[in-house]
Amino acid sequence: MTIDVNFLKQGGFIKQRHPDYFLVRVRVLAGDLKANQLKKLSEISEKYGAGWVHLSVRQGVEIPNVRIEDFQAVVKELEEVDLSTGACGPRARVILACQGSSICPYGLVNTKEMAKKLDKRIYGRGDLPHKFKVGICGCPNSCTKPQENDLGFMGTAQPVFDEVEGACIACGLCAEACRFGAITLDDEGRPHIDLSKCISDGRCIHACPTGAIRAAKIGWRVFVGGRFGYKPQLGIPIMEFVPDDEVVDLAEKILLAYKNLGKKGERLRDVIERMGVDEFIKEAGVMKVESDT
Amino acid sequence: MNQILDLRGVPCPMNYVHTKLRLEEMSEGEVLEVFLDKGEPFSNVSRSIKEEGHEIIKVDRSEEFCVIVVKKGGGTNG
Repeated sequence: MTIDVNFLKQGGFIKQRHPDYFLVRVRVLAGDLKANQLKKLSEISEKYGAGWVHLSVRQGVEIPNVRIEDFQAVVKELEEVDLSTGACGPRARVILACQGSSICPYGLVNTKEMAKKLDKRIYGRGDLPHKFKVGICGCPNSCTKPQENDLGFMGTAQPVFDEVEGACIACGLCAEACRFGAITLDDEGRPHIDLSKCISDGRCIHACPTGAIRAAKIGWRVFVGGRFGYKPQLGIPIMEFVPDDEVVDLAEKILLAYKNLGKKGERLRDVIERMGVDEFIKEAGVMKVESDT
Repeated sequence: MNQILDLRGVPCPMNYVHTKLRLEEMSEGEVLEVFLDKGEPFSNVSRSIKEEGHEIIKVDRSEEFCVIVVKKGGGTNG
C-alpha cells in the first residue's frame, strides 16, 4: 500500500490512541449539513471507519477508526458531496455559528451568510502562531459563545422609541420583554429607554406590536482574545455595531495582526496580554469604540 | 362578540400553538382575547402573534395574568 505523504500534509486527520487508527475531521460550516452529505458521512463511516461518527463542540463531524492508507479515498468521497476535511493545528479553524435571523426568533443578524463570507476569506489560513478560532452568534444570548473564540462576533440591535413607524398603544410589552430593566413606562404607559442599561438584545424591538420601538442600529459586537481550554478567558469587546459589509475586512486585519505580532505558540489572548489591547488594535489598524451599552 | 382563549397555565410553546390554531379558524378582522400568564408566555406569544402578521390592539394586565387583544390580520397564514 503506497501512501502519498504530500497529500497527508493537508491535514484533517488526528492520531488516535490505537496505533493504526486515525480520526478524520470533517469541516462543517456553521453546523449545517445537507441530507446527501449526511448520507455520505454514514456511508464513509461504515466503509472506512467504525460505523459511527462523533459530533465535535465546534459543530464538526469526526470519523473515527480510519486507516491512514484510506485517508485519500475518504477525502475523495467527501469531495463528492462538497465536504472537505477540517483544519487542525496552527490554522484558522471552522467558523462556528448559531442559526441566526433566518431561523431563530431572537436572531438579529444573518449568521449563516456571515459564516460563509468569513469562511471564504479566512478559513484554513495557516502559518499562524497557534490555532485561530472564530465564532459568531445572532444575538446576546450567545448560544455559540463567541466570547470563547479568538475572534467573536455577536449580532446586536440598539432600540429607539420613534412613533414614525407606528403609534405606541401603551401595552408595556417592551418593558416586559427587557430583562435588564432598561425600559420604564411613564404615567401614560409610554416607554423610556435607558441605553446605559441596554444590552442591545433586541427583545423590546421584537416585542413592540406596532413598530414604535425600532432598531436605530443593527450590527456586530466584536470580541477579541477569547479562549477556553486549560485557561478559560472571555473575549474582550472592542467594537459595537460593526455593519455587515465591514466584518470580513475587520476579521482579516485582526488575523493578519495576530500572524505578524504573535510569537510561535501564542494564542491571540497571549499577544493581547503582552501588548495591551489598545496597542494591539492600534497595530491591527482597527478602531476601538467605547461601548455605549 | 370577541372570541376568548384562556391559556393561563399553558406553557410555551403550546400556548402559541393554541393561539395560532384558533386564529387560523377566524376571519380577517375578527378579534381574539388571549389570556396568558405573565412573563415568558406573555412576551413570547405576543411576539409570535405580531410576526404572523396579526395586530395587537390592546393589552390588559392584572397581578397574575395578561390579556392580549388581537385582531386577525391577513398575515403569513391569513
